[in-house]
Amino acid sequence: MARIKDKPDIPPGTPFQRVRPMLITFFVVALIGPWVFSSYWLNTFSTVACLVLASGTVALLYGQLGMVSLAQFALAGVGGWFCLRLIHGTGMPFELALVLGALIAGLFGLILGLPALRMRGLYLALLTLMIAAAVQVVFNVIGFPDGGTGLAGHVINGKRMMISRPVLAPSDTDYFRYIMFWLAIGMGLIEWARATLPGRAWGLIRKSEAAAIAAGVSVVRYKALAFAMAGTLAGLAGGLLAGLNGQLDNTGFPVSQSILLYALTIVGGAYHWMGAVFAGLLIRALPALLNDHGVDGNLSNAFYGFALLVSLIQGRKGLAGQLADFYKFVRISRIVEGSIIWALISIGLALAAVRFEAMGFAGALFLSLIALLFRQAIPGVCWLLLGFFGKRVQDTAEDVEAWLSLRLSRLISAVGLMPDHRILKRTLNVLFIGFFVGWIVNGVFDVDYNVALTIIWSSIAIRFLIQLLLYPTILPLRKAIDEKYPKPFAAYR
Amino acid sequence: MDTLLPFIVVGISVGSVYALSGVGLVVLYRASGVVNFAFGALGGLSAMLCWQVLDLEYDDWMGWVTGVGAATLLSWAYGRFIAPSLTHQDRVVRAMATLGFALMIMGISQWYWGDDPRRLVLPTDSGGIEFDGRRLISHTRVVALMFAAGATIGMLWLLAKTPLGLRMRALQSNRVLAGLVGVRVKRIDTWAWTLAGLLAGISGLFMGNMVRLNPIVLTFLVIPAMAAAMVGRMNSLTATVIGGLVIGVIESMLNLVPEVQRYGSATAFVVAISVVLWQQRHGIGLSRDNSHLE
Repeated sequence: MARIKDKPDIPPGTPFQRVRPMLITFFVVALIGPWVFSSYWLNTFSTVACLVLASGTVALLYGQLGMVSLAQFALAGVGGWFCLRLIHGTGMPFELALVLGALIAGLFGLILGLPALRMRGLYLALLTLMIAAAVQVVFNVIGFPDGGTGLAGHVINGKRMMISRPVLAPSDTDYFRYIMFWLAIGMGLIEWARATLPGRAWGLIRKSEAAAIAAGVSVVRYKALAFAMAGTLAGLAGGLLAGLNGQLDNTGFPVSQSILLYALTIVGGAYHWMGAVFAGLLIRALPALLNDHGVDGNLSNAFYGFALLVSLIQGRKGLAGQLADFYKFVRISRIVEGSIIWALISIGLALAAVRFEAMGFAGALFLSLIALLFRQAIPGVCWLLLGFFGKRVQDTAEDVEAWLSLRLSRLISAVGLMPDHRILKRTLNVLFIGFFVGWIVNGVFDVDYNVALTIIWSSIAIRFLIQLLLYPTILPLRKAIDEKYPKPFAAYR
Repeated sequence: MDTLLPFIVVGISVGSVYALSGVGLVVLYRASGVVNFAFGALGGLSAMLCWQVLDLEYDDWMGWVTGVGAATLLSWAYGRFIAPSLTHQDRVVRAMATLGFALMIMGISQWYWGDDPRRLVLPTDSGGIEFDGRRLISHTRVVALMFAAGATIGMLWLLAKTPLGLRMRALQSNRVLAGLVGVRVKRIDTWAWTLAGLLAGISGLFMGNMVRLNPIVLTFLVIPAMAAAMVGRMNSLTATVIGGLVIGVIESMLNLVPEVQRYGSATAFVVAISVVLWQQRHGIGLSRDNSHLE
């Protein structure tokens, strides 16, 4: 099976402590999302949230049991189909139809999982692929219910009827939050299961079925549980997608999407909830962003293929795993210091932006925070990305950078200025953040390019000045915290 | 019988293309244990390149050679440079890596050629087998059937009679032991990839001629081909060919029953699922599948 490196990290703490960071993240996104996204992007991110849930189910099966299901997106289609059919057929409230549709999809998932009780690895992957392909054909023929008559409820010729949004969430903004609420429940269930008894049973089954049986774990029951859970939550995602537009497209659940969902879950990382978030963003938000800027979305497929290949060859834990590894080594003092400085800068800049009527408070706050985050994270991320290609490439890149920086700083000191041995890295980083984040923000949030650049660069500049000028004040504080909490962040979770 | 005959003939001609692809998948799986998701993408690239060369008004044979050659070369390159770094991994991981390769080829060809409607015309298209004064199948389909038969017999001969085939079978039974007795594992693997690329290129030309000439469509045609290979348990070439032909014939015969006619394209998957479930009930797993021992 998988190599030792692929083992999931199980952080210490009670189940609730393990689920908490994820719930807080989702809550914050649900809260500030609608303020900062334009309406097109709000809809995109609603779709992304549904895909995150679907990707979470793929990660559940692959990360916990090592089972490959290529039919999860098809199961989302099944959930969406029954949700629509129930609403058109009986006029029941959206929530009830959503839950019932999800449960029916869970039943399908359970049936799908029955062969898996005796089958593993490649054969299961191929079997689920065949099922996804067959489901695609069925959807193509019978279509999704839209108020027609008969068992399928599909209108042949005429106007397609749409279901109305749930009573609780009539507008796009509300519906985004509504999806985030269900996403938190769904992902929370998965994380909770991973942190408690089922998670340990799955881990043992993954390691060795014989050992699991010997230890008194019911292999059948826990495998069935995993498939039923994955099916139900995928169906939930499908139902939420149906509610987003009021209908579903016949060609909306092709087998290619099921495959892509699996591939990107691996790229994002199947052992951490952030992996599902990355997968959702990659599958929907990146092509949308590229289209927004007139780049052909098909190139993103080529990029995904490359990323999948690289992450499989390196056998790492995906983007999320790399990020988690990175934060394992950060100390508490730096986190405290960083958050205080970041909060001061971003709130200050946001107030200034409102004062000069350049942009809204929340938007500017978000932009400034993103810039600071990138300033902090990009060198590390570049380093990790280079790590994809192996130690040798990483070392070579480091050497080249050092050599160039040395030459450059000599040149600078020859002119008579203060030399900086990391000048190349810093300059490139700041330029990159300015143009890249500005480019994204310009597309996603409808912000003027120059305003975005100003806010991004001034956040970085202010942070640099604070560190430069207040260093004597900060240092003793940092030392005091370090003495109290000498270990890295991960040790205190 | 007279009413059924045309459907059987059409079915066999469609099935032969599935069979040809299935043979390519099985040969690679037997030698190296990799389920090749990139098979369809390589075929698609071959068909698109061939169309491009023909569109520039070069000779026909140049188009075929370019298409098949490019597919073979890419497959060789993957087998030579990328596959070796994955050999220590699980078979699922190796299969999914070819999926990455497939997405790369598909993305780039789709970006370059786009969605414009095109047709790949082969010189054999002009003639055909007639029935009741109506053209049933073109000669291209007959050639495809001949290629499928030829590839199957050729591969059976290769595996049974040649030194290369002997070494491939050695890899199939046990890679580590084969390496210990002096089989050059990497080289034999690379040969298997090259052969698979060749078959992908050829079947890509036929597929491009048969269905819509579009990289995405052609890439995902690997799934029905995989269904044919699953009937043969990714092991038996003969069963794979029979599976491909049976799928083609059933798909074509369904046209006689109006109620299920529209579900015809699901035939391959339903056949594969039923066969797999039946095999499983009788304790027959995927060849080389010793995951139950792990």
